[in-house]
Amino acid sequence: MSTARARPRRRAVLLAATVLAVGLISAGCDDDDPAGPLRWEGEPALLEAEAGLPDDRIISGEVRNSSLEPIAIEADELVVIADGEEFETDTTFLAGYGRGFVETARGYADPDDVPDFERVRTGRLLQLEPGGTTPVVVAWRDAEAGAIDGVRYPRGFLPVDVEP
Amino acid sequence: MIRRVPGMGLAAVAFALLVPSVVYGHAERPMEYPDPSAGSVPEYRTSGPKLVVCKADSERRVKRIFKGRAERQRLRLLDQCEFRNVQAAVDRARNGHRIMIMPGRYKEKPSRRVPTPDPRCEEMFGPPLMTGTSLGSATPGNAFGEGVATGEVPTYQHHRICPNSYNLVMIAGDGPDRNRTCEGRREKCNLQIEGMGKRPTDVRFVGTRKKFNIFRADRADGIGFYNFHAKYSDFNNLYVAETNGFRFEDIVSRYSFEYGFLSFVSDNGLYKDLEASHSGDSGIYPGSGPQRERCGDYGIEVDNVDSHHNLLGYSATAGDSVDVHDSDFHDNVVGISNDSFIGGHPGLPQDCSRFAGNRIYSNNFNLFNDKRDEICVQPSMEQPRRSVCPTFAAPLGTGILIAGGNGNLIEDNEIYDNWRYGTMLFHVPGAVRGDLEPQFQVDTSHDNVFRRNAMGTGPGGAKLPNGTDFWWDEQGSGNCWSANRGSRGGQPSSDPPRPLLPGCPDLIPYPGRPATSKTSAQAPCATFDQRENREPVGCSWVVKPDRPG
Repeated sequence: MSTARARPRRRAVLLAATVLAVGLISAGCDDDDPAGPLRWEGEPALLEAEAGLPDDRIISGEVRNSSLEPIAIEADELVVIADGEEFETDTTFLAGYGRGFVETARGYADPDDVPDFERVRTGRLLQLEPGGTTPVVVAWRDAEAGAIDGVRYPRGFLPVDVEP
Repeated sequence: MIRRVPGMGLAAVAFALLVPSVVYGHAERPMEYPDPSAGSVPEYRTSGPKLVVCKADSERRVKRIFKGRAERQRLRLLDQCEFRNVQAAVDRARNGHRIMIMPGRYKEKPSRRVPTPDPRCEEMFGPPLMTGTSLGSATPGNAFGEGVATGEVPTYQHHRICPNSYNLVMIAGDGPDRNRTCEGRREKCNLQIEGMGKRPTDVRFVGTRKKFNIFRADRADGIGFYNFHAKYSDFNNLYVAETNGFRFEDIVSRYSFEYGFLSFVSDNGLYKDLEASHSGDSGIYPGSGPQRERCGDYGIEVDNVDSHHNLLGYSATAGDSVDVHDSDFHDNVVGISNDSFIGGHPGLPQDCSRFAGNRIYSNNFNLFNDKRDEICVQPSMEQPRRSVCPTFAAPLGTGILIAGGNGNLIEDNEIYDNWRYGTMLFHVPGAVRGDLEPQFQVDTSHDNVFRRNAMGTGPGGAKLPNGTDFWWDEQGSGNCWSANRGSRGGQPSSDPPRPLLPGCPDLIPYPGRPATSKTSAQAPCATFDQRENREPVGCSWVVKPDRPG
């Protein structure tokens, strides 16, 4: 889950920061412009939250790496933004449910021991070559069910234009 | 016509991996499916060479349990006792022995004293071999320049030479050669391990979180386990691996941290007259099931089991060719699950199992609540032994879940009082299990048949509805629903609604449609983590549904 609190830095985030620092994609000037390497492939869809979750919202779509370099982004680093406010967000780079081989109840002796291929497979880590696409599902909690500006990720921003 | 998705055959396959000094799940070495024509389910034997195991108080227990002739017989058997621990008897045993265990409590203390892992076998770990695919091939290096190999797993030799490195009782059936026939003088196939009490609870095995398994039978063709009670393992109370012919009968399993009864890459098996409860994963798990040529040919049978108060009453990744019948799955989080979630399980994607004549009811056991979280957030070694902690998220309140499966037959079951769904069917893209090629992305879920099930009606005709009787993500071809009865004989409820639920046998071809919204809506549950994210945003699976009706 991603909130405003700090998250541990990981190798993938450092790589993404390096890529973005090259300045291959110009940053947007306002909340309607994308920033960073990700672009929506088609339009994201607003999904109906299931019963028992009145405050939860879900968008589902596909994103593309529009830069000229491979990128790596942690799912935990994505945060839904509206009017500058951050919302409690959970993201997975999967089209549906998947789970890890290691039981979550066990955890790991050290989270950095989990190999990247496993984190990619379970939707926790996005690795995309230039032009590559991947599904993404972003869920956030908003009791007021208002419109959102988009999804912020390390040095990037994906606008979202869906009516609640 | 049910389409058989090509299976694994007898190809050698790789499984995931274990770093000895780091807990990374309970991975396995590469295994091969046995030749089903070369084995059979073992028969119970009342004659043959025997080895008797007893405890100091076995005589007292025998006199309390038995009277008359039965008591005299047991006392004569007790006179032949040579061993205090079952592992010692297994070590002495050869092909065809019966190990007869007198009433008592068995903690296998000599096994517990062996370090994990045993330093005598510190070199006996398999070469690192990563799998990210159901085919078990090594995942090639990617554009990020990462290597793919980490960790190692104990080899068969490790378990054979250091049997108690990870197990309280280890039965390594075959010798070190790979011909898979027990022809050697010192080999241990066709063993029968039997409790000699009147009831299973008269012979009790007590596990420890410091050893993965109470019993591990590996290449132990023809092994039979009968009439005892097992509890408190860290992984499996009973585990059969790469074995041709096995039998679990009249056994009670409780409070395994993960699985009660598990079989893997094995064939010609029988789970019969079992009770499995309070497992953090599954009570019954015939994973990576037999690879048969056609649907309808079953290699493992599950008959008259009672599985309750587990996360999953029954589950099986790549649970192929299993016939589950006349059993009860109740008061679990999910009653029954077949899935294709995790790569490296031989036989993926899951196909060709049958569930018939079972009672699947009241699977509303809530393991996702604040009180449970206080216990389960602790490291596993510090959790009370008599606790059940979910190993992952599951759709609480579901009777039967097919998550990436083909050609399954669900018929003549009584499915009621499951507050979310009676049955739930959705596809799992191959990428989730590490198969990235385009043809694997829609290779499930097809050709599943739901017929003649009684939905929402309990004993005596009581109205005990499911939340929704049938839920489907509308992906896949050849799936059909026919002659199912709703609560009190009415029409069953469904999502999609009934006109969009294909009927059988007059099947109107329905190629399915992209299931983006319904499938994607389940995705947030993939972020569940027992320690760090117990209530994922957007995940309804961990929210107990209201009682329907």
